[in-house]
This record gives sequence, structure tokens and C-alpha cells, in this order.
Amino acid sequence: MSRTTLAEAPGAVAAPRRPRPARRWLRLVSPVTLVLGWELAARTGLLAPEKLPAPTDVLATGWRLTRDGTLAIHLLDSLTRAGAGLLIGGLLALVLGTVAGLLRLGDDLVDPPVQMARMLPHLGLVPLLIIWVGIGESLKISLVALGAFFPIYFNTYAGIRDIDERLVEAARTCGLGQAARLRHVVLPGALPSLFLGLRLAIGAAWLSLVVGEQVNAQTGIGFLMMEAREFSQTDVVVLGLLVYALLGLISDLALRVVERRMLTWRRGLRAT
Amino acid sequence: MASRTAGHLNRAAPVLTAHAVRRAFGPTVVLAGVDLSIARAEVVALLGGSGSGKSTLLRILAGLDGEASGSTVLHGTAAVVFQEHRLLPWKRVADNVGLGLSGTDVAGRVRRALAEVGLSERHRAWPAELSGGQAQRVAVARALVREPDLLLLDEPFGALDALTRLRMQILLRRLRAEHGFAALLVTHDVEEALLLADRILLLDEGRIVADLPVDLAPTRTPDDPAFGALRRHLVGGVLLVAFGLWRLLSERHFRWAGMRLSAAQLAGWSFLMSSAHGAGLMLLPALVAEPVPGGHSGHLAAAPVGALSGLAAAGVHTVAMLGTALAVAMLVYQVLGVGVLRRAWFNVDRLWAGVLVAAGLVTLIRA
Repeated sequence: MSRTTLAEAPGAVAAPRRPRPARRWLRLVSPVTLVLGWELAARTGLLAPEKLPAPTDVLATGWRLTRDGTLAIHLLDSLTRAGAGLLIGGLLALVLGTVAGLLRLGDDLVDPPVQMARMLPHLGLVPLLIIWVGIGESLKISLVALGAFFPIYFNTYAGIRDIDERLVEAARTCGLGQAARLRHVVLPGALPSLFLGLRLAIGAAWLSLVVGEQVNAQTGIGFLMMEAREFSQTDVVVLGLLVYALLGLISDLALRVVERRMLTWRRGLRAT
Repeated sequence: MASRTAGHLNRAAPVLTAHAVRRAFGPTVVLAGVDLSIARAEVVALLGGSGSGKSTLLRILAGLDGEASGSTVLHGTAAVVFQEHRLLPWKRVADNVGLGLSGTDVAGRVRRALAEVGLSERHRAWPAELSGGQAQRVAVARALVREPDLLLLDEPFGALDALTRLRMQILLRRLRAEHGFAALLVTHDVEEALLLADRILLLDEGRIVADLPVDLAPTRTPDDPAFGALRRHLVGGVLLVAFGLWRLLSERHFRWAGMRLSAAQLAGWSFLMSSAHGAGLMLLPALVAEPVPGGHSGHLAAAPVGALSGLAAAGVHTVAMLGTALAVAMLVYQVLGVGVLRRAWFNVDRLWAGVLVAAGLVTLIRA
């Protein structure tokens, strides 16, 4: 049988495939061991509860805060900030990226300052932003907007620039005008790049939120954590971290689902 | 910028006329004043080597090049099929075909166009799921569905395998018989041009150097004797002109069958092959020869003598006589080693190249 000869052939490379079930279970072993070890160490007193509480304690705290509604209030505030910042930064980036990508004049006028600003670490702008917009809500939203702006701008720009000129030409010979070419060729052609930008922007938005909410916040997950630190409620601090991580994970997953539905044509591309 | 006018529909008028079309990329002149006219329902092949400017001309005629000068007048509508299918990867086949269509019953028109290229059942497929030949057929359907008066085809089958290409050529001939569109077919394939076209334009150095009517039955095959003769003249003519010019312009030599030959000698060998073994082998030396840096070539007489038989067969007797004299001189040199001729050799080879160019042009004009 060919199968045995394949197996015996020295240096034969197996085709890449999904990990077998057994291997997938194997990959679970070390995380589970770590969590169990953590739990055990906390329970036996090896880890001081004020340094790192047991995972079950963190979960219990999470359940308590969910039930009394505290967590929901803070989570909603954090989400509002992230949403508003993403919307403002994203729309601005989308407009400027489109102008720079489509128009030569726009490219000449918009791209150089953006390229210069890109080198500034936007989280390092916190002191300046405090002077400019104060320490209120606008600081958090500005910070998120700044973080979201760059990935979306660059990917919009690159997405438009990378569109195959020959496709635009073919659309022209099919009688498509400027607006129709934008709708049928440029927009769908730039969409994969836009999604990539959005994913990076969401990551940047959560990061900005973490930093922003540690500056004089009255609500939000970050505030929850800062307040808990004052009272040495380590379980709440760890819970905040967990919530941040989950937010990032869930938003990324959701975006991936949307992306897969909107870019079905690429699956065919990958199959060939 | 080339002025591009859409004229009124008129049965008698040509569907496309172009006048003094010029295009230069920086200092390089690609089109040096091209005039052409395509009659209604006429299929014209634009033949030329790579870099001869044929695709550039088609782009200008399609209105895709704003930098050209001259004028083109299109009476009616035109559609383009490119060498690559250029389907939008994010639209399904049917949406690609119907792109930019308006009016009544778009879905029905798209369905009929897809049926005509034999791809009805693939209307829901993504372009990435199609084979090269299928994608090109969709591109043809996308052009056809617009019911153009003129179809502009830019090496549409150039990227396909031989069998698929043959099928596509048959398909195009059938569609043309059914729809009666005029077409400009840009190609570098002489056989394809002879198979599909009513008239062949030969583009070289940015000018149309020959305008050859193809007087063959509409249902022609490459086995047709008339087809063969015409092809021999065309290929021979193009070969002579091309290789003659090459020799005149460059010192590059070729290695073929273990011999080191100048371009002029290679053309000679081609004719020797073709008269000995039939026209089919004419292109063989030209196709498999390998360019090498210039230098002295050892096989002086054999190639010119071979070429002469080709020239005589093409009916260019005066040139053949002149060439014979040269060939005899070559033989004398080779046998006796006359020193004067040795020194004169390079000039003689150039002279021979000039003779080839002249003979090629005569052959093309007579074809």
C-alpha cells in the first residue's frame, strides 16, 4: 500500500493538517495544570491572597459583582468609551485614508503629516492630552480614537493603493463611471485590508482604554481596578484583567465571523 | 490626447477609424502614426512581435490611454477582452458578466450570454473557482452581453494551453457568425490570425507595414492548402524582415544545432529547412536558436544558399539571383580562402541582411 511506503520514506513531509484530537487535548494539559497549580498554591497559602488570590476566588468575585450590577455599569462605561473612540478615530481615518488613497492631491497633503505623527507613541501623549482636553471623559475617548486612527488609516490607504489597476480598467470598459467604479471595484477590493485595519484598531482601542481609564476615572473597568488597588482587593484587580482579556478575545472573534461572511469570495481564492 | 469621437450609426461607414495615432513613453516612440479602419462585421488581426506596440494601440482604441495623440472615431459601441480575464474576484460569475449593465431583463441577458459560452451552470461560482479557460470564456461573455459593434481582443487566448486556445478560437468564430460583430484581434500567433481574421495588419516599429487580406473560406482549417501557402508567405516575410533588421542593428549571433550563426544566416537556415521538410519547420530554427554574444561565424555559405531556395520559392527571383551571386562568392571564400573576402565578410553579411529585409517586404506585399 502506498500509505506504508509513504510512512517509511525518509524525510517525507506530511501535508499540513489540523492537529489530531489527541494532540488538541495535549495542548490543554499545560494551561489546565498552570491554573490548577495556581489554585492549589493559593489554597495552601503558598501564595498570599493579597498578592494573588485563587482563580475560584476571582470567579466568585466576578459573580458577586455581576449580581449586584457593579460590573455591568463599569463594563458599559468602558464599552461606551471604546465605541465612541473607535467611531471617531475610525471614521476620521477612513475619510482621510480614502482621500489620500484615491486622490493624488490628497496623498500629497494628508499622507506626510500622518506619516510623521505615526512615529509618536500615542500612549506617550497622555500628559499633553491632559493639558489639552483635561482629565475627563474626553481624554479617554481621544486616547482610544488616536489608537484606532493609525491602523485604520494605513490599511485603508494601502487597501486602495493595492487594488489592481487592470481591474479598474476592465470596469471602465464595461461602462462603469467614477462612482460605480468606487462602489464595485475600489470598495470591495479594499475591504480585506479594511478588516485587517479594524482588527488592529480594536486591539489598539482596548490598550488605550486600559491606560486612559487609569487617569482620574469615576467609572469603567480601569477605575474598578484602580479603586480595588487602593483597598488591596487583588481579586477585583485580577478580575479586571480577565475582563479586558475577554473583551479583546470576543471582539476579535466577532470581527472574524463578520469578515468571513463578507469575504466569502476569498475562500474560493484560498482553495485554488 | 487622442480625440475619441462616437460617430453616428451608419451601415456603410466603418465601425472604427483611427488616424495618425502616435504614442511615446518618454523618449521611446511606440506608435509612430498609425492609420487603420475596420469595416462593419470585419475581423481584423493585428499581428506583431512583442514590444511592437500592438497592445498599446488596442488600449488607445479602447479609450484607455489618455496620453496618445491622433484621432479615433468609433461608430457604435466597443467591448474589450483582455489577455487576463480581469474578472472582479469579489463578484460571482453572473454579477461579473452583468457589471454595469442597465435596462430591461439584465438577468436574462446575462443568462443567455453565459449559455453562449457554455457556462450557464457556473453562474454562481466565484472567479477564483474557475479554470483559466472558463474565466476567459466568462470575460468573453461579459463583452458579448453588451452586444458591441466592435470587439477589441488583446491576445485573449495567449495565456491558455494549446487545446483550450483551439476551443476558444472555434467559439469565437461561432459567436462571430451568430452576432456579426466587427473585431480587432491583437495577437502574435500567425496561425490564429489566419484562422480568425478577414484581414491582417502587420505592426512593426510602431507602424503598420503590411495590410493583407485573407481570402480564405470562413470555415477554414490549418490543413487548407491555400492556408498553408499564405502562412508560408507571411511567416517567411515576417521572418526575413525581422532577422534581416536584427542583423543590421545588432552584432548578436545565435547558436543553433551546434553552429554559430548571424541572424541573417539563421533566417537562411530556416528557409533551407522549410524547402527540405515543408513549411511547418520554417520557424523551428528561429524558435530554438539561442542568442550568444557576437563574433565570427564559421558557416558562411550554407545558410545563404539555403535561404535562396526559400526566396526563389516565394517568387522573388531577382533578389534570389543577386543572393546567388553573393552565395557563390561565399563558397569561393570558403573553398579557396581568398583574403579579400575574409576582410569583407562582415560587410557581406550586412549586405545579405539588407537583401533579406527587401525580400521579406516583397514577399509580404505579394502575399
